[in-house]
Amino acid sequence: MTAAILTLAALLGSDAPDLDRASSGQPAIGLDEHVGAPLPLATPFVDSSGAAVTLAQYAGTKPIVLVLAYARCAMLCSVVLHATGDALAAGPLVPGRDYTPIVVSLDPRETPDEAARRQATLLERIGRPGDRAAWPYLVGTDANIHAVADALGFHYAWDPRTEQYAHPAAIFVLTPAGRVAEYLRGVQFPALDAAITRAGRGELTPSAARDLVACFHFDPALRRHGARIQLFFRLGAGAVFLGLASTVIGLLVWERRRRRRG
Amino acid sequence: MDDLLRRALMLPPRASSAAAGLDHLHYVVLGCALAVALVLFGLLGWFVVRFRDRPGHARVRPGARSRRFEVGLAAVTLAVFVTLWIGGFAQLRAMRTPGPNALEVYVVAKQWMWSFVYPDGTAAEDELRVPVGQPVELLLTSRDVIHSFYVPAFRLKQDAVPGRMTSLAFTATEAGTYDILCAEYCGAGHSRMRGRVIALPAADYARWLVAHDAPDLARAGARLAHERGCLRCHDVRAVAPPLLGIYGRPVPLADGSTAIADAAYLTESLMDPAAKVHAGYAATMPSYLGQLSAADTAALVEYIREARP
Amino acid sequence: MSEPTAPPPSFWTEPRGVRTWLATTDHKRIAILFFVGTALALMLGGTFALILRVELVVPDHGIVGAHAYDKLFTHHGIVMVWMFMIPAIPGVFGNFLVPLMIGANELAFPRLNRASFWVYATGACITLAALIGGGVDTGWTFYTPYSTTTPTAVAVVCVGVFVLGISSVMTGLNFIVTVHTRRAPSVPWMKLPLFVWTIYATSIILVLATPVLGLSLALVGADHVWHLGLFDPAAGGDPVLFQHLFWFYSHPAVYIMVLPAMGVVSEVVSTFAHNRPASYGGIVVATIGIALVGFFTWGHHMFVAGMSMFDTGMFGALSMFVAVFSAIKMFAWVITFYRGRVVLAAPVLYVFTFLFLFLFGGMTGVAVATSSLDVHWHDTYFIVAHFHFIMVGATLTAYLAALHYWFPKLTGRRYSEVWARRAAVAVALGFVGTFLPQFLLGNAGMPRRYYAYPEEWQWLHVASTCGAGLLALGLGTTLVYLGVALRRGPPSGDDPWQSRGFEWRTPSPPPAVAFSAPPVWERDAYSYEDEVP
Repeated sequence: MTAAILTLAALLGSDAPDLDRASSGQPAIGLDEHVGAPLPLATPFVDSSGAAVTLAQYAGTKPIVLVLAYARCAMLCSVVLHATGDALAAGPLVPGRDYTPIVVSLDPRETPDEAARRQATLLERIGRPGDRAAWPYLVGTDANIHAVADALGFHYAWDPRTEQYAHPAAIFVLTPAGRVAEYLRGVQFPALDAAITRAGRGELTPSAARDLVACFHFDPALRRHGARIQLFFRLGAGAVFLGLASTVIGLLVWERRRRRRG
Repeated sequence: MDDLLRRALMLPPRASSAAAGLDHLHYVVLGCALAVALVLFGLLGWFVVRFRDRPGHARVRPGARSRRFEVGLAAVTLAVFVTLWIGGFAQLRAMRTPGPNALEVYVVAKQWMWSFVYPDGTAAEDELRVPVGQPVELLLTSRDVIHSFYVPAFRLKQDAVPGRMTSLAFTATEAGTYDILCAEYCGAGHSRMRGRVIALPAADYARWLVAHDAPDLARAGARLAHERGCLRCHDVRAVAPPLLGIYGRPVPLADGSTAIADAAYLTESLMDPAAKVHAGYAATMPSYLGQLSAADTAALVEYIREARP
Repeated sequence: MSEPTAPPPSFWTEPRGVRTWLATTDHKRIAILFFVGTALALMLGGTFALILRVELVVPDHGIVGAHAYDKLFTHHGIVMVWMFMIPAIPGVFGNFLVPLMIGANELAFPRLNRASFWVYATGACITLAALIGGGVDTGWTFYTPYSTTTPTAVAVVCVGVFVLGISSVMTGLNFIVTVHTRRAPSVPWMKLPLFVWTIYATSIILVLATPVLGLSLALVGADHVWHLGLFDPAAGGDPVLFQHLFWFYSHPAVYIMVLPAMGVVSEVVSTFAHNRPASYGGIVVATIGIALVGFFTWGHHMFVAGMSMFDTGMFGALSMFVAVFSAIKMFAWVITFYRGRVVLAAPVLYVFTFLFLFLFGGMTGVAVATSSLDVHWHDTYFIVAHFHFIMVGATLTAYLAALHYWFPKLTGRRYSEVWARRAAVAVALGFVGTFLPQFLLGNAGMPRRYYAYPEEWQWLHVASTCGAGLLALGLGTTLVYLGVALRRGPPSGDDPWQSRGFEWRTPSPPPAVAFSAPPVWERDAYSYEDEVP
């Protein structure tokens, strides 16, 4: 049991959980606001029909609503995408005419085919079935996706345990010139239309809600302690095994000696 | 017959598409149990009477036990249990699959209330309205400890786990008002964490959707609190003081004095949050001076006054 | 008889003195110490239960407040599970009988056995001190993140239960080594009494599963004190992970309680039917089967916690195998009475109650293992009634059956059979009366751990409380007439039941050293064939 207590002490010595996740350099998962930052518009992507495109093709005259998500996502992406779709469909602004919504896939393995399937359900949701230009869905290489995500301050990571990308819940509104105008966090976007209107005027609106960092409930559980708990159990199991084995062997030897003497 | 059994077993009325199937499987399992009990205890009773120790009781050598009989009996038992499992599992699969065009409602549980957020942004506390006959999918999470969303009349239950989203699919079949209970122990208010689900005929539901924001000050305040994100901080214990039940109570201040959380204090805190900071919390709240109309401020204060744990 | 003749020297009297009892390494005396400990725990846990039942007579605001109520059901669970049911049968009857049943004078490690009792006593004291000095309101399941954030004495209770767990591991280890190394030459494996098999299987679970509980509670305790956030989603933890860790122990723990109970039933049935158990081999296979499969069913406690369909299906299906093994035993017990010479006495009455509770407790378990039914019945009174039938009822009735069956073995005296039968009937009716209404409450949708409930359920709660009163009356009566018998009961003779069991082949009560040489038993423990002409 001493070993278990020592392990526990070692566990305590390591870093305590920090909410802002920014204590040591680049946070693994999170959102840094780069309001006003220009997006690398020349980054090449492939759209759902397989054609090579760049973000620059969509920029210029209309504001852009950008969502980073991926088709195989089990949880958060569909929640964010559906909420975005609902917000897009609800307002008086018309996607394609007043602004351009774009999905960029987080997953470099995603193919244009998969993108097309996912796009079809999204288009149905906003009542524009088949109209691929209404909500483009782009896939690209890991480096290119990272180039866009880094410019946005969107930090995500592959979690091999859940085989999912862990990422924050947020969407982005860009000015027609391709600068980051506004961050909308969470999974409901009732203020989307207003944000698009502001971005259309070229306004940059820093989020007043820095406090949201503490709001965890839609953040994917990162299960950061899983590995530690597993290590603790391995060491604990080892300690118990050694303890039991030495107890049995020690007592057997002791009993035998006692019997020989007595 | 069905209804008689249901009442005899104290099962609540059925109001969802899943309820009847569950009740019937329950009858089947109960029937199996009673049949086995009848046979086994019948045999036991007969053996005890027939072979009881008494003067003149002549013992007979028990017949040789057949391995084939033993294995056969075990196999039949296994077959019965596996059949029940297949039935149950198929039922569960059907229950867990949301119907087409499901209405998605977000459910946020916290000590000790239920918040519902509809796709159009409408928020409601402790009261969920759903249309009869339309599939509904609830997406649940919790802000503090584990809770469990339970509607006995629907025969449905799903834990709301902090840091995770779980889902629950159902279709209400009968209009009416049904209890929502919390089924996972969550503290002193566990048994009072109740809400209502109101299943409305489709037409009534549509009418409600249009008319629901009646000028109820507290409800308007609740909506505002959601829209403005007040509750994102004000129910996470480490960030900001919780609002529930604070109204009228003495508030310890950072400078050691005490203030009463009345309308004046709350309004001042909204407009000049740094003036009187609750002891134990950092002064992080932004000022809402110029951002909230008088009516909005009144609504928020009214919401805080009404909100009780 | 006013002045019974001085009993022959036995382990009770030699050596004399309180100090020899406290320092004893004799398995028989340690069994008596465990009996005192577990009986006190049963009374304490029972008192908590009675307060809970009286509170629930009214729908709201009864004799205690909501917070006190939360603590009471937590204390009831902790005391009953870790201080009574886990050590009850292995600690008392396992300790007393296993050596006698395998022809040994002591366990493999007598000093480890002594340590296991005093560690149990220490753990019980730590836990009780925490319960008295503030208490804990998490429920006995310690679900995170509630348990890591509640301001009650979680950490101290975790330490107490951790220490109780160490005692369990010591006891289990000792039994495993004993059965392997101390069997007399005339007791090969397949002639082991069935009770020894169940203690052996239980010991394997104790040694393998208890460390997981200890480590999990260590994490909860540490998290509670130092706010590590291990299971707190705000800090990147996963609250459901704790449930997996907890049930990995606590589901097999059910079999720690029930397997020895099954062993008692096998012995009592064979003795009172004067018949060889139907299918000794089947019962052995089922015993080991339950112990092994029991390790792979923990997930059925989490069907509504967000578990995937695949996991739900697998855990449901595996749970069905436990039911099959249990059914095999059930059939074997009943068939054992066939063509026997059935003697009705208090122990066998308790066994009948056991069979009733076991069948309905088991079949309600099958109901929730279908997985779809669990969606409605999970965490309701139906589950409360289910596990009280299968886990508590089975363990309690087997404990009482064992107490009445082996009372002459332990003391050399007889108790009042008339009062024993009355008490057995009261316990049976009381137990069923307590929990049958709770099945119905569960059907109606009453969640467990509710302080306040809707008024239309009140009559069922009143009925349940009446049952609990009758149960308490039966148990209280038992305490009185057994206490009387201990001092003034007539001598029982060595083998009052005409059993063929190995343990009855020594004097009752046994002398401090039961065997002067390894016994040579030509006939096995179930050899009733000579009764047949």
